Parts: sequence; C-alpha cells; structure tokens
Amino acid sequence: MAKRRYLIGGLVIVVSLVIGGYAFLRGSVKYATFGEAERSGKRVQVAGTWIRERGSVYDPRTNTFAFSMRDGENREAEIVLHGPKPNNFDLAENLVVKGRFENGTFHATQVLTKCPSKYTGEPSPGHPEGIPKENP
Amino acid sequence: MTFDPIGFLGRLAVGAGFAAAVTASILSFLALRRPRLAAIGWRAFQAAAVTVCIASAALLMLILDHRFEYEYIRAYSSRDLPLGLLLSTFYAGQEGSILLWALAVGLIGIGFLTSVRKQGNDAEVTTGYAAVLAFLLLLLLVKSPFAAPDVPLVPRDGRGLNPLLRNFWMQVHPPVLFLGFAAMTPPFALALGALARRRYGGWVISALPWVAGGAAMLGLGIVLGGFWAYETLGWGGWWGWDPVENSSLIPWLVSVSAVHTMLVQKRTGGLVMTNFTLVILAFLAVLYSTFLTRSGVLGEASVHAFVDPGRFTFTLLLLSLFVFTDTGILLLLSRFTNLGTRVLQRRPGLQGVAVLSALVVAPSIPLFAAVSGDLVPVFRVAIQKSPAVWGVFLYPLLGLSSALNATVPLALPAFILELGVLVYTFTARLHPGVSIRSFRFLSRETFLGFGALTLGIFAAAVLFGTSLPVIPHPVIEWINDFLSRTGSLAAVGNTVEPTFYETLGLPLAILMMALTATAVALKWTEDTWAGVARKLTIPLMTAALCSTVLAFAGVREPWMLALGFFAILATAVNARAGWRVLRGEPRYVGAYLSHIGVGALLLGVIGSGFLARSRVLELPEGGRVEALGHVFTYAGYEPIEGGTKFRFKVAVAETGGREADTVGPVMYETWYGGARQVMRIPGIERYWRKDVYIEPHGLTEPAPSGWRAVRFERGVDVPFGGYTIRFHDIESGGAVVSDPFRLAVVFQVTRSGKAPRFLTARKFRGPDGVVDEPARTGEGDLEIVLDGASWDREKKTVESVSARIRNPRATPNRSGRDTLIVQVSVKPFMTLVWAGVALVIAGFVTAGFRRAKDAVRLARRRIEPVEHEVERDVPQLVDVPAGSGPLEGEGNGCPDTARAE
Repeated sequence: MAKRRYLIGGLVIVVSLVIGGYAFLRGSVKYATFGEAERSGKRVQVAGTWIRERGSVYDPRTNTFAFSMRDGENREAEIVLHGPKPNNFDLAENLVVKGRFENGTFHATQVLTKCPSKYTGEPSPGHPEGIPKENP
Repeated sequence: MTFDPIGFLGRLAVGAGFAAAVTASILSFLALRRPRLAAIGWRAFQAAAVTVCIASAALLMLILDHRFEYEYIRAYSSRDLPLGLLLSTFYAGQEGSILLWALAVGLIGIGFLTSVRKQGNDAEVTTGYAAVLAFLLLLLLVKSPFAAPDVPLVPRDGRGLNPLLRNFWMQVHPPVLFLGFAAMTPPFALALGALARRRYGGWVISALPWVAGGAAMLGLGIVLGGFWAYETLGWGGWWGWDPVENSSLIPWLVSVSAVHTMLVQKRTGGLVMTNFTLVILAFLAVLYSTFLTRSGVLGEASVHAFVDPGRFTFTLLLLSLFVFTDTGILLLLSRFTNLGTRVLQRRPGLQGVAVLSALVVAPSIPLFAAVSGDLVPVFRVAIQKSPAVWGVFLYPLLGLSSALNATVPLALPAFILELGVLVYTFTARLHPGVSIRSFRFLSRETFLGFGALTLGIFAAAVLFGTSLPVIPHPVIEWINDFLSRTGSLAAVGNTVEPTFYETLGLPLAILMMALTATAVALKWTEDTWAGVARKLTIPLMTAALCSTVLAFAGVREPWMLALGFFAILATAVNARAGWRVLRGEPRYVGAYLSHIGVGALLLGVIGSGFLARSRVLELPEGGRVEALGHVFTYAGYEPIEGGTKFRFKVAVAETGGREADTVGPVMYETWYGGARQVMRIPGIERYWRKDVYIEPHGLTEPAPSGWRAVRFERGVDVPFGGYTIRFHDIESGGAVVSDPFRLAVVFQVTRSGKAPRFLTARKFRGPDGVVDEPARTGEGDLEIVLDGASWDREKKTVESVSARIRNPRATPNRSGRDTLIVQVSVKPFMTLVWAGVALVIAGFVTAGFRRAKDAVRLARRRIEPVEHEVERDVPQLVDVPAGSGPLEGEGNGCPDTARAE
C-alpha cells in the first residue's frame, strides 16, 4: 500500500500550501512610502528617520508613543505607536514603522529601530541619577 | 600604533589556524587515496584547534586588560562592567561570536574526530569537518576581532554593552546557542563522509547522538533567549517570530525532524536519502541563519540583526553557503540518482566528477555573482590601499571578480537550472542500485515519516517567511505586477506578520500532535487498527474529558479546542508508554519526555497566548485597584543597585484571596551611545496556574495646583466638584480621531438637578507645537484639559480618554500622591510553557546520551572490516543488536528476552 502513503503525504503538502498561501496573502506587508500608504490605506511598513528636533511624547495612561518621521521621499508624517517607547529609540539612525494611515496620522503597531554600526558620540558619563518621571 | 604582542599573537593564531585547517581538509581528502596522509591531516586539525584556543585566550586577555586601542573591545566593552558581563563582551559583536563558534567547532572536533578515528573512517569525515573550521577562520581573517586601526587618541573607556544586553542571560544564551550551532557540524561531516565512501548505513548510528544533543543545545539556546525577553526585556511574550529568532528555529526544526527519520533508518533501514538530506539541511540552515543575521541583509526587517559588515564579509558568507550547498547536492546527485550514477559509470574518475560539478556547481556561479553584487570596486580599493607586494595577489582576484560579474545576465536561466537540479535530486527515484524500503502503512515508521514531513513543512514555511526580505524588490514588484494583471487584489509584501506563522502553525501543530499520539501507539513494522484503537482508548477518553474542561474554562475557538484535545491525547499516550519504559529501562525514556513536553508546551501556548488578558492600570500610591480578578496596591518605590535603578513595590493578590505578595517591576535610565533611554523590567507574580505580568509604563507625579488626572471610560460618570462628568464622544464629523496631535472630545457635564451640558476640549498641533484648548464651564468653576485617548483597535472607536480636571476657583490642595501606570497581563498556564520546554530538552539530552552509548557499543562490536558493509543489505548495515530492542517501549513487538539485557 505504498500508494496510500504518498497520497496522504501529498495531501498534507497540498493542504499546507493552500493554508500557507492564504495566510501569506493575508499576512504579508509591503514596504511603501507615506504617499503610497496614504493612498492605499493598507497596512504597510515605511522606512525613514525620526525628526529629532520635534521630540517624542509618551503618554503612559493611554500607552501611546508619538513622534514625527521623515520617509525616503522626504515626506513627513506624525506617527502614533500603540505601545511603549521602543528600545534603543534614541540611538536609532533609521526606523521602520508598521501600520496604516487613518485620518492623516500613521497609526503604528510596531516600530523597529536600526542602530548605528559604530560609536560616534561622547564616552559614557556614567549612569545618570534620577528616576524617570513623566508629568501628567 | 605600537607593537602589541598579545594582539599580534591573536592575529597570528587566526592566520595559522586557517592555514592548518585548510591543510587538514586537503590532506584528509587526499588520504582517501593515500591513507598514510590521514595521520598528518589529523595533526593539522589538532593544530588548528589549538590555534583557535590561543586566539580566544588572546582576545580574552585583551578584554580583561581593557585594551581600548582595539576596535572590537572599544565598541563592546567598558570598565564599569562586572566580570561576568565583561567576559560576555567576548561574543557581543560579530567577530567575537564567530570566534566563539570556531572555538566550539574546534573543541568538539577534537573529541568527535578522536572517536571517529577509532572506527577508522576519519579521513573523509575530517575533510568536511576541517573545511567548516577553515571557513570560520577565514571569516575571522577578513573581519578580525584583533583589528586596531590607528586612532588619534585611545579613549579611556569603551562604549560598553548595550543596556539591553547587560543582564544575566547575556552570559548564557549566546554560548549555548553557538554550542548548538557547532553540534550540527559532526553529523554534517559524517553524512558527507558516508556519501563519499558509499557507506549509507553506519553513519546514522554515530550521527544520532550529535543530532539529538545538538537539538537539545539549540533548543535550550533558543528558549533561554525567549526567557530573557520575557523576564527582563519586558517584550511581553517570549516569542515574536522575529527573523533572528526564526533563523535559529529553522535548524532546530530540521534537526528534530532528522532525529525521527534517523531512528527509522536505524530500525528499518529505510529513509536513507531523507536522512542525508535532512542532516545536510540542518547544517546549511545553521549557515543560512548566520548569513541572515550577520550579513545585514535583513537590515530593516529585524529587531536584532547586526548591521552591514561590509561587502566582502557578505560575499564570503554567501560563497560559503553556495560551496557547502553545492557539495551536498553534488554528493547526493552522484550517489542517489540515475543521472549521477550513470555519469560516474561512463566517465571514470576525475572526468565524471568534472561533468557532475559542471552540472551542479556551474549554475551557482552567475547566481552567486548576481546576489553578491559588484565585487570589483572592493578589490580596486584594496589594491590602492595595500603595498605593492599584495597587489600581486589582488590583481588576479580583481580579474576573477570581473569575470564573475560578467556572468550576471545568466542568473535567471542559472536559477531555473539550479532549481531543476535540486528538484531532480530530491524527487528522482533512487537509482536501481539502491533498493527502496517499503513500509507497511500501519506501522510506526510510516507515521514517524509523516511526523518528519509535518515538521519539515513548518520549517519550510518559517524559512520562506524569514527569507522574504532577502528576495530582491524587483522580483516582488514583478510578482505583484503579474498578480494585478490577473485581476487579483492580493499583493505580495516584503515581510510577513506573525499571523502567517500562527495561521499555518496551528493546523500543523494539531496534525503533529495527532501523529505523535498515533506513532507512539503503533508497533514497528506492522500493526492492526484494532491494536492501535485499544491503546488509544484510555488516552482518547482522557483527552475528551480534559478538553471539555478546557471548553468550560473559556476556550471556545474550535481550532484551539482541537489543538488542546490532541495535545492532551499525545501527552496521555506518551505518559502511559513512558511510564512503562521508566519502570523497565529508565534511560530509554527520552522520546516520551520530549513528547510530553511538546504537549505541555502547546497547552501553555493556548493558555498564555490566547486566554491572556491585558489592561493598562493607574495605581495611585497606597490605593487599591481591582482588575482582571486581582487587587493591585502600589506602595512606593525603592532605589536598588546603589540608586541607579528603582523598584516599584506593587502588592498583588487574587480578588478575595489571601494576603498579597509584592512584586517589583524596575525602571531605570541608562546612558549609552550618546543617548538616554528608559529601561523597563517587568515584575512577574507566579501562581502555578498563571503568571501576572506587570510592565511599568511610567510614574506620574501629583498633578500640579489642583489638577486631578482622570481616565474617562465611555459612558462612565466621574464626580468632581459638584459636577458629574462623562466622556460623551469624540467630536463628530464622522472621523475617528485618536492621536495626541488632533483630538477633540465632547464631555457631558451635569450639575446636580440641572440639564446636562456638552463641552468640548481640544488638543491640536499648532505652528509652535501642541496647543491645548481646554473645555470650560460658563461659571468658570470647571476646566478640562486633554492628555490623550486610547483607541480600541477592535471596535475602531475611542473607548477612553485621559484628561486633567480642576476647579480654577477652588484653593489648590496638594495631596501629593504619585501614580504608577502599569500594563497588567494575566497569562494562564505560563508555567506549562517553561515546564514543557524543560521536558523537551531533558528528553533530548536523555536520548542523546543513550544514543551515544549505543554508538560507542556498536563501534566496539563492529568486528568485520567496514569495507564489507553492503549498503543495500539493510538488516546488516543497521546492525541493531537484539539488546536495543526494548528501546521503543511498548508495542514494538520485540521478544521479552531482549528486555533482560
């Protein structure tokens, strides 16, 4: 009954391919610019840099983190991340935000930070004193 | 820079080690014809291993000595690190971690090759093994941890470890992972050796303990990383389907799959080709993992990928990947397919090898050139920089890379050809010289095969999802173009969301559990449906009972219930079988332990992943807050570790439960790389059936001058200063606005006994930053300022807003109370995850030891010269002594006498 074995094996593979294909088309995210993201309204990821001078705000009550970002085409957008400030955010040279545009603001569910390869700043002055406090 | 003996020694050791490893590989290869050379090859390998030790010692000395003139040490080490963390800077960067890997390969190699030599087939095994070491050392030559470029001023202190890495787990997770990586090399070398010598049986016995042990190490390494993320990094979970996590999961899945199929070959002699393929793939997966994480290709797609190490290292990594892949395919093709054997028969010796190489290796050349990009400028720059002597060596390389680049237009046809060769190699029936073992359908081996297939499919899916960012953008554009032309709305992206793995993983996990249960219940060789049914009855009833309980506990989703059912079924079957084995031969219990562990792990995943609930809470100091079935009380903070960090004391108790335990989430600021950042360590209260996971978000000081911070839930009244205030809605206009840049909220304000009024508070971005426009009553005795709004992603509405309210007329009274804001998650059955993983690893360790003993015993028993081994004669080559009969526990149909051994 060697046939039955291959039949079942083949069936498992085919079914997995179908489920995998479905999951893939639903779960794959494209790289885009802010312009494309706004036009399509789809969930995308955008690479760019944080506009440092405008700062960033974290509101612990709503657990949202907001900042401005400039993409590869020099377009700026305001980003609202639904989550805490990402690790290494201040160090990051480049950012990738995943999410979609809603009413002119980019609502991100994930922000990836890309750190510089080599150290360029001043040597560490040691650990600063103080407890992180955020005023209401 | 002045001459430094230790750094020089390190550089010298890496160079000498590379030369020795290459020599060892070449001599061992030649020893296939002239056996005398084997001894010299072995000496050369020993020399290489010793030099790797010397290089490691040199790097360690430099680290301990704080020699910041070395770039590597400057970049990752600093004076303030305690000894343990200081030692861990050894592998904090790419160069050091490759050295650690090389060290593991070298040390394992000494032990492994010594045992192989006792069996007299070391020459062909050493060839492959030394080649791997040589490749690692070549990487170290190109990207050396001993590099010390001239700097105007050597800094007094280094940059130090990234704060994320400054904790205990940094000292264990990477070494264990690299040990697991290194443990995949012996089976690979054994497989290549067996293919070269055409002895397709015995290698499985020697390789099995390495594959099982490697799976244990790799699994431990992976889960230590997960534990790290969960316990201290506060990522909320322990697995995020990040490409770097995935890339170590792939070799693990493949090696686990290989453990099962190798067992089948050991027992029945079948699945010969499958085993070669899987073992070679496991090693290639390790290389590919390194390529993904260390070449910078993942760049934007991963949280913790390294940055671009430079074109040359990238090319080298890629080249090694091609070389080892091609070697594997070439050997498989020449041994197992009609085409390969025919070529070798018609054209003897070198000629045949040349024809086959042209077939397999040639398509790689343009592919490699296309992916590696333009190397010509790299060599141009190198020639300009280096003294004239080196130019002699570099010019030919320049020519070579130019020639390589000229083949790029052939990449597409070459890719098609390569795919064709691959498909042919793996699907073409074995040539008539190798007989195929045909299993009965209803037998353990068939179901083990299905299990391995399921694992393999999942490994392929993870591989696909992880590799997606590597696929060049033009290819993706082309596919999308094609899709849109067919009228499909779907579009392919450059990365996948975790849902991809979860959607596919769920049915595969269910299938895997069902197969595990059935395979363990089945006998080897042949069984009857009645027999299986009899053994499955009690476990089936147990599973039905327990999953009913699960359903009442809140698991309503049918897929989840199915997973729960089959996970319990597999656990029950294995517990039953394992218990019998435990009473007879405890050292055979490994497989059952692992299977029970997987069942427990999956149940833990159902609980902690799908039944978990989470909320953001505001805990005023001293006040009780009740949420998610627990009472939380914040009792202030205390400085720890010399005042550098702060621990919040949060008392947690179950609602109506006994007294509270205090957990301490920690927050602190660090200064690293010129930037301040806030680090958060979660606090975890463990109960046996759930974890309460508390992530600190921030501490708010008392609101200044009479302000009171309030969180308004939609439709919930908040009394204040004679008013009743209610969050009515987001200002109309149809749009859902919920960001801190533009927010307008309508509040319903009612003075007792009067009609409700509606007031709007606004917050928007003006030309000079954010402008607040508070809502005020006409009487001027109430003012509301918006802070933020939280958006309910599922309902697509704003469900709550945070704001400050005050009565400007009232005299401010400062009731100074801090408020701690935390995200609290209750994760049921989290303990099962860790317990399951521990069982899986314990099982693999047990199995690894037991298989190692078998291998040693069999090696001693093998009296007849190995040359006489006939690969086709399965029972002989598998050479299973009667004694290893009871190993599979119940239902293997072995005579009871075997048990007596």
